[in-house]
Amino acid sequence: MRAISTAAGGMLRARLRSSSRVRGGGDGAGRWTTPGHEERPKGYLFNRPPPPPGETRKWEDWELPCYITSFLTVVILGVGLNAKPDLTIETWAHEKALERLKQQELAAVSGGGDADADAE
Amino acid sequence: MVRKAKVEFDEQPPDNFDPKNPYADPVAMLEYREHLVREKWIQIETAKIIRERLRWCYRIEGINHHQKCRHLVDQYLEATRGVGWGKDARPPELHEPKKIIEAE
Repeated sequence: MRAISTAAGGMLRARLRSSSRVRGGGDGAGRWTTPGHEERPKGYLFNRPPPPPGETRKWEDWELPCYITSFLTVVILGVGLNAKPDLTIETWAHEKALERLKQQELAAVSGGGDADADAE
Repeated sequence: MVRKAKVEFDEQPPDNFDPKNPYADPVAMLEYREHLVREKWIQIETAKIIRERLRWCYRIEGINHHQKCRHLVDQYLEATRGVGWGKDARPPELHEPKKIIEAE
């Protein structure tokens, strides 16, 4: 029993020693970083370095169709929805109601004694 | 495709509908039902139009609206008989069909 306990203790101590050794030293990057890690931002908008002087930014391949489609969408919706005809029954009933009211007024004016007849 | 700028409905009830025997012509019965719905819609819009006129009359006539807008008030109350929701809370004489009272 003593021999087994001693062997286990030795193994544990060895593992701890190796772990502590790797943590402290190493290549200096630390255990929290990966290749390409940047410690602080550079200050570029959208993290894109500005183009060299005298040059402009080249469009990416997705920008032209995206801009064209967005513009067409806005135009089509703006024009189309405004040009939509009003076919709801409310509008139809409104116009019919106006016509009937006008007819009632004309009938009341023409026949003086027909005022009571207009009542339902 | 030609776009229609206006919707048109027939203003007369179907000719071949017989209220006593509704199922003799089911198509005419359905058309009559749609006709009733359209008539109710016209009634509702009529009440709305008169209500708007009444509102403007109150604003224009100001303090004299009791006398000057009387005819519109009567017209509006007549237009709202049996129209719209929430009729249970109104007095029956204001939303039932008007009873013809024989004048002396």
